[in-house]
Amino acid sequence: MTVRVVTDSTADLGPDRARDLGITVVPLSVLFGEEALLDGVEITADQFFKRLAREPIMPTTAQPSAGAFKIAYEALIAEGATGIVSCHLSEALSCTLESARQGAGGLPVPIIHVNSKQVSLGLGVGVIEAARAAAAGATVEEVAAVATDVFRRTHIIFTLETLEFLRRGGRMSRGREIMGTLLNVKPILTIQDGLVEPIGKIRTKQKAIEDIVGRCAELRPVQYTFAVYATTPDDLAYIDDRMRGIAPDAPFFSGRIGPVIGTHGGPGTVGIGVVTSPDEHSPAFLPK
Amino acid sequence: MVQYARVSAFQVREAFRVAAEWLSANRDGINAINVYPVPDGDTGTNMLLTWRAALAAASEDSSHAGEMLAGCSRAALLGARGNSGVILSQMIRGLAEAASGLEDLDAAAIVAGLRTASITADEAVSAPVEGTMLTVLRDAAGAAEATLAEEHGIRSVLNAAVAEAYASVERTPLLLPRLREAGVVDSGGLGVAVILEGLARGLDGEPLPLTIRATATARVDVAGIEHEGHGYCTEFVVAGPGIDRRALQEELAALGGESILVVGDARTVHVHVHLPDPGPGISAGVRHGEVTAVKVDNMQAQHEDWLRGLGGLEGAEPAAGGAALPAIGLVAVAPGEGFARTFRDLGAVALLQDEGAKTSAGELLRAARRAGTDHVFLLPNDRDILMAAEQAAREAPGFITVLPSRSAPAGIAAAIAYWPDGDPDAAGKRMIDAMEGVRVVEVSRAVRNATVDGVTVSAGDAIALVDGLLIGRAQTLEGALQVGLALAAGSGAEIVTLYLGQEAEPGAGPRVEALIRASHPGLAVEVVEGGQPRYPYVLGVE
Repeated sequence: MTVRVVTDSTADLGPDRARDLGITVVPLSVLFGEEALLDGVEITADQFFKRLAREPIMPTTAQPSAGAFKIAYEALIAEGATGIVSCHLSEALSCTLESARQGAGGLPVPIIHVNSKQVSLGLGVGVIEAARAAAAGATVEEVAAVATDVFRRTHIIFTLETLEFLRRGGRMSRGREIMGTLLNVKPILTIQDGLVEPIGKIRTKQKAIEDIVGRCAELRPVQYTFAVYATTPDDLAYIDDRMRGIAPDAPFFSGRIGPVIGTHGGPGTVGIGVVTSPDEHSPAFLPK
Repeated sequence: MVQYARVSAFQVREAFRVAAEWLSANRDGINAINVYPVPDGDTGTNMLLTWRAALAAASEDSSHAGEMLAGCSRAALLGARGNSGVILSQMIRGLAEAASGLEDLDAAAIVAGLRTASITADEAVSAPVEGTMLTVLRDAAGAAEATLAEEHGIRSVLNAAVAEAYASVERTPLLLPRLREAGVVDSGGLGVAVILEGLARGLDGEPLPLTIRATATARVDVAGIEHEGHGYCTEFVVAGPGIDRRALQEELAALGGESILVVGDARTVHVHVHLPDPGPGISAGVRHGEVTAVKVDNMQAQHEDWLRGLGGLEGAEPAAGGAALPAIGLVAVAPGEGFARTFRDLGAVALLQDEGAKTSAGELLRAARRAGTDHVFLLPNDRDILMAAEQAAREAPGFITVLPSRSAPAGIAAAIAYWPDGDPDAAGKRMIDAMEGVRVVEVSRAVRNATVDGVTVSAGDAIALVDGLLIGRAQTLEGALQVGLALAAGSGAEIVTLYLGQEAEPGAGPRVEALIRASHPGLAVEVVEGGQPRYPYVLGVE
């Protein structure tokens, strides 16, 4: 019996990692005006951020069609999948999960949909764990339980150069007008119950990164740490160093924010995440 | 003229009214007394508005002096504006406490009132300084007590108090070096003397003097006073691993240093200090690291040049006259529209500071009540609003905490660190930490010749203050800004915020921003409208 894992491009896994783990990634799209480009397929992160800096029009994003999911699921069934676990971007932020559910209609194998209530590698790390569980022979229910459990234990905290992109995309949960737009204040945000929640504000980028590192350092015990960046690889190197100091034994994942998350975060976005260790609520079946 | 043995509530009210009239007549003169050569003195206005708040509460129907004064006291506490107003309100409180239960007042009650007023005011100030309104009232109360031992007429004791109060005002420069250096008497002390005189005349029914007191006594002859303690303005930079700024500051103080500024980080600090002998100060620096950029000026020589240039004091003109509430709320006093907008953008309730009178304790209290449900932090953003904020906090213990911000840029740093929910203690600590990392540079033009903080300036000079200390002058505002920034930026600074004042020239923003970027390439620069009066440029350096 073969269980396969599907996610979407907002997991920011990168093509190599997805391929190595046998994960199918269904791309969302970024739209520059009328021009729609498949996230990570027709436009890379590099190309996207260069274009963002150049273009006068602001991009928007669109979820994959139900048909795109149907094609992906059928391909896996053709390869011999006996069950599929499909984990996606927080449903409060996107209709991707709804498309995925529609795309699963009438297919002959069990397909479990998981609302990660996460974004970026917060979604990606749970998907990696699910793929490992599937490879270790877990049932479709067990794989879904592993993914759900990792998503529950995942905490992501991030900072932006500006709130402009998030505001424009309408992805701020509450219009807390305290964030300081007259001065170039850096917002500190988290994902809570699948929503983007502002949790602080700080004057400079360097202090903002120190702040999120400090907030992540309070999350214990640590199973994994991870970090993502949009355009500033030096920040990633710095965070890697700091997180290794804070949780030396925890594996550290890193990733680059792709075009879709980049549309809502903007250049300079940096996020740090912590997956806390399995606890009494975690399922008994867990891969090594 | 009648020498009353007792006065009624009606007479006390009349005395308060005459005192208000007399203080009003002297207001501009008191406002003009300012240590710094920037026309922002508002002591007279602050005291007058505080006094009027007390007067307004003195009911015409009241026939019980003690009860009436209790009402006045309460009104003054909330109406208090500026540090001088807060101290005055505490004096009124003392007076009311001494009169408590008395239907009318005799000389002994009035003398006891003056003494209690003095003690109450002394207790309200955390670090009392002599040569201020505290000293003047204490001296006046002493003279009234001495007179009471001889005779019991109200007029006699009050006349003694008034005469001693004015004499005490004249002595303030002898007690307070900053006044001596600036060549002025203490403005708040003069206000106290004027109020006492108004009260005395009001109780007597005697007419007010024709000569306004404030212009007659505002300035003292600095040439006639021994000019001491100036020594050498010494500046240098210390570089090294792990410099203990506090230790260096203490060593400089132990060497007799004044106006000490030690700014920077653990690796590089800029030192500015006035020393009787610069040698040991520089040696102290050498013990902490490598000393460079040493600059020593003989302030005595500067002062003598200044006096020569003036031909004594003849040319010295006094200054011209003067939604749903969050759990944790923030109230900020803003010195201009731009600052108010910026504070609101950060989630604070902003109170726009009127020109000429400081925000009152009552205004702060009312704002706090519409700022938050569980706890409210107050950012006075001005040395002279700090005490009013503390007075407001005493009215709502456990609800209001004052964050002692001394400038608007420091307040902005605190407001950036503000967050509307969570643990109030942690929120307060975060805001205080943010605030303490800010140095403030204020740039203006001197309106008169003066020597302050050891720096001698002439009318029209562009001047720079760093954290409230006058540290240098230049021909142009931009030049003064650079002098201030060089000291404030030290080496640990990351970002400079330039707040453009009402008097900044159109287009000054981009020009000054370019200047700062050129001279401090490592610093991020942001420019916003501050809208503050009198200071075309204010910088927050973090």
